[in-house]
Amino acid sequence: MIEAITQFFKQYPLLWTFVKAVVLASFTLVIPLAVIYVERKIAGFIQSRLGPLHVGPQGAFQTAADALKLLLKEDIVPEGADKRFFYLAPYIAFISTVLCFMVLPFAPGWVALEMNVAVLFIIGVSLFNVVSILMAGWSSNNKYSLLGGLRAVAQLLSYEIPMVLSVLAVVFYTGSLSLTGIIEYQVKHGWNIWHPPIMIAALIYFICALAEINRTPFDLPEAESELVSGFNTEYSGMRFAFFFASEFANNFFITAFAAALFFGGWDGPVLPPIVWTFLKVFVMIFVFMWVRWTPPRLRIDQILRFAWQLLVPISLANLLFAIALGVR
Amino acid sequence: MSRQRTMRDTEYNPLVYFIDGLVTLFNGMVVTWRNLWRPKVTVRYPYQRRPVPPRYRGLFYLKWNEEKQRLNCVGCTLCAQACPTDVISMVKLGKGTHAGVSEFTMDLGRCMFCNLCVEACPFDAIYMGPNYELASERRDASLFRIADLAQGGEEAVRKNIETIERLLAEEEKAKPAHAVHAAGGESE
Repeated sequence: MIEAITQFFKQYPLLWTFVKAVVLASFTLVIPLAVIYVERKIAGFIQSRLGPLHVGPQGAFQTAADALKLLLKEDIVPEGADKRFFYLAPYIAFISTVLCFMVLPFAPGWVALEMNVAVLFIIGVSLFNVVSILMAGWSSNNKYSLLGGLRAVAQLLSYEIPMVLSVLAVVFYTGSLSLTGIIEYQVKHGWNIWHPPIMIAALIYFICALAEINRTPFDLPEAESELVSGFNTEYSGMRFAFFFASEFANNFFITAFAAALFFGGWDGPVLPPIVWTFLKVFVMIFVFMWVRWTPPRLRIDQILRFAWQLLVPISLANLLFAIALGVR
Repeated sequence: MSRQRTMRDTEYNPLVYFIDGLVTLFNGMVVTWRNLWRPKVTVRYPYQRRPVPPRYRGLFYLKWNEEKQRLNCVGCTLCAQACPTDVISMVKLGKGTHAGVSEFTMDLGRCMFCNLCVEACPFDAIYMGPNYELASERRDASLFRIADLAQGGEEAVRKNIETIERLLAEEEKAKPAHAVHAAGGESE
């Protein structure tokens, strides 16, 4: 059935591209609904509450209802805001996430764009998120937004370096920049995570991923107690929904990326590959949320010092380690 | 317990700090993991309710006396006088031993549920009950009339007035001479 549909669309490349784009964009919009629901449920359970419960079975439609509410809400633009950038920022955040999903293989052959430098592409494109955060913070004409935006940029840029270095360790180890290539290597040789240099790389990636998606020990950009809600303070309605969606889709993406790099992507016995991808992703999302609801947040100087004094040297040394072991 | 380490320590060692942080994070995650499986404290309110403690100060009720077939209230207004916010007003029915009330109105919009009226009552007539769901969409819903307050509602109010009027009438019948005497005495 799916084969037949793809066969039909492949006769018309332009239409096929359009279909893939629509599917990806709607996937990026829909997946946050699931992730936010899971997040709220886990948050509730950890705090001895029940979480959303009344809209749909076990509250499953709560986030959909919230999204609908946000779409219907008034769209407020603060006076003195830099309107062009204010309007543009949420969509840039969202588009950067969609672009990331574009090269992500969900199962053998299930990839919108087979790219032989996918890892490089993802690293480049995911940094657009930083641009959008800075745009939002700057254009809001609000000191809290600006501080949140600046903090976000400082933090994301600092953590991008050890993250890229740890991803690079995987690239050197498997000898491929293509995500499909990396996963196929793991299907043949076993998951990357079992190899010592990649183990350290995975740990560093995990820490950096927490920082990249602004999760609790590193959620300075939107520290409520200090900055109201950071760069998105002035956003409401639809635009806020886009920021929110892109944040949680990013959460999904960064775990899917980790699954591809360290945990063999779609590789796994018995179950079909697509199920394995989602299983790994949601287990990791659970761990992320578990961490999120455990420690308090750090201070900005602690965060930056941690990145530059510890993570960067360790990941550099680890990269050399991986190269020494991995190059054939 | 290990020595407290802070980022300001001069002998700050990032690696030691990092490992310390990982260990504490792990400890914290054990705690949150246990919490994940503990029974939840949420009471799903409109569907579930907590038991109300016996001395809860909710909506007032006027006590119904089954033996005498009337409300305990004699209309003495001690509660109205004790009330700091002037919530209570009543219409007395008859006088003397068989006196009661025909009308007893409380405006709970002003009430602060301080229990002073209950303490003031020497006849065990007014009490505070377990009902706390007094919110309404109508403005006059804060006004509680005798039928809303009496134990047994309309029926009890009707019986109460019946009993008191019967007793008053019997009293009237039993002592015409006395009454004249008393009236004469009063006029003197």
